[in-house]
Amino acid sequence: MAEVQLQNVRQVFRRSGGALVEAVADVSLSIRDHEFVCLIGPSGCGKTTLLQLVAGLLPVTSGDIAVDGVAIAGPSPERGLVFQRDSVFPWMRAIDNVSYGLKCRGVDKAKRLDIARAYLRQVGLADVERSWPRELSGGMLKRVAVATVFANSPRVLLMDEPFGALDYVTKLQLHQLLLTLWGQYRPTVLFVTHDVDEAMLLADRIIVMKGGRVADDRQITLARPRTVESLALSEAIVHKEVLLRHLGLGALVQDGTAQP
Amino acid sequence: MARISSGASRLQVDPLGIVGLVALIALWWALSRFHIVSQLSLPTPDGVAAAIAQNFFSSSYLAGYHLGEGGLAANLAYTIVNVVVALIVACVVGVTLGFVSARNDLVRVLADPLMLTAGTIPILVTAPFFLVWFGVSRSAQIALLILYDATIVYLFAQRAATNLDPTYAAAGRTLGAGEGRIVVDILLRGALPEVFGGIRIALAGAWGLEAFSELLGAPKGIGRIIQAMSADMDTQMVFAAIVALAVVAVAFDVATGAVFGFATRWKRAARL
Repeated sequence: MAEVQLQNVRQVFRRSGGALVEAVADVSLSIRDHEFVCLIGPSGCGKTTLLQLVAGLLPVTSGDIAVDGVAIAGPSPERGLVFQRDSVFPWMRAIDNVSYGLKCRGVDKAKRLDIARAYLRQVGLADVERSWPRELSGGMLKRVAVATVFANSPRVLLMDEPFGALDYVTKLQLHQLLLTLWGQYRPTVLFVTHDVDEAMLLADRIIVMKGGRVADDRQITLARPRTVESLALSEAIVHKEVLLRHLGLGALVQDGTAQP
Repeated sequence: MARISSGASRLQVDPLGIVGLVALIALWWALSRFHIVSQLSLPTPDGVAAAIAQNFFSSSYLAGYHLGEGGLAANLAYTIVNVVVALIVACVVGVTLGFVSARNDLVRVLADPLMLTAGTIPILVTAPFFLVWFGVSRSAQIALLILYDATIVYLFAQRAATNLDPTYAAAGRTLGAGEGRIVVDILLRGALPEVFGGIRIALAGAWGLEAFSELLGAPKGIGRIIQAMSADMDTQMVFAAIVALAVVAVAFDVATGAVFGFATRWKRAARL
């Protein structure tokens, strides 16, 4: 079980000039166990800040965040985070990166290396376990990052535009990998993205943020496994039109029926 | 590029460096052998080598100058111990203060003026004060070297910790790393390449500074040999002491370079 509840969450920053900025404004959400939720919205809408609040990397200014009714207190391996930037430690070999969370939790060396090997195999990197991160491509590094988080058995998986910098083919491969691992281990996922198609392909539910607030909350009931054809179904097109309007791209939408 | 395999690490020797060294010795030999420069000012390389060999492990000649019975080796050992002890203390102080100041603004505000001032004042100007404070003892030279080394290591450690992407520490925290692991596994290991650079620079300068501080007053050491021999115009022994110190300094630099290179071998891995 891993139900994430956010109650009247606010996050206020003070800029270097002294001005206060409300990055997250009174957000209340309930994310169900095993749900795959995508957070989408324009740049600066507060989605990454919200993710960092749930990760416990930032303290809330006010409000409450709880997992299964227990208020969070700082970062925890039960809430794994895949970062937008490279977070794979360049000074550790691939297998040491994947097993690092287990090492922090005191798992003995032989066992944690076995677990790490199993996850590296699952993400297709069994043959590069002894490689240094510098020797791996961007897509391979993301696979290491995904394996590292899953090896730690998180109940909640947080992903901050993890595939944003990857090429189209690698991104689609990683979508499939992520969905496979999610299907197998079933963590609750909160996935930040700018990419409407990515959100449509992955999510059970898409939450749109604007100005630090929840502007829309849409259930995506497209059957899984989803394909490129799934995105051409009328339900998907309606969702996509609404999401594009939310992102200020209404001019791209020919049919005027879909409204946010 | 010739490579000498040495266990897990590889020592790289640049042939051009060897050619340069041989050319320098040949020039030295020619200048002194053909009396282009007086042998009183520039003794021959073979004469210097003979002086080193004759006085290395024991030397009644050096003992006559109250420089101990142990010859060049004992005096070298005195100098080496001072340099190494000072470097170890400076690394502990410099790295700790550098890392803490990178993460804590209050410590940075307090430590920066102190360390930057220490780095700005010419170290040779401060040397006589150490002699007054500590007397003619090992402590004076070690204290002077600590001041010099710690300033350099502090600045490199602070810059390394400041430049390290904070994403790594955040990733560590979300994986369950506590503060101790964040410091040891992430901050220290991520900052090592830059810190090592600072340590090598400090070490390179420390040999000359140690010899200089011995000139001001020390029971023995390479600097004391140079001082005593200069007073009696024995340039051959002066050169012998300088060459012995240079060889030790280069050997230490090569050894630390190999150790540091092995510890940061991930940095040299081929980028895909």
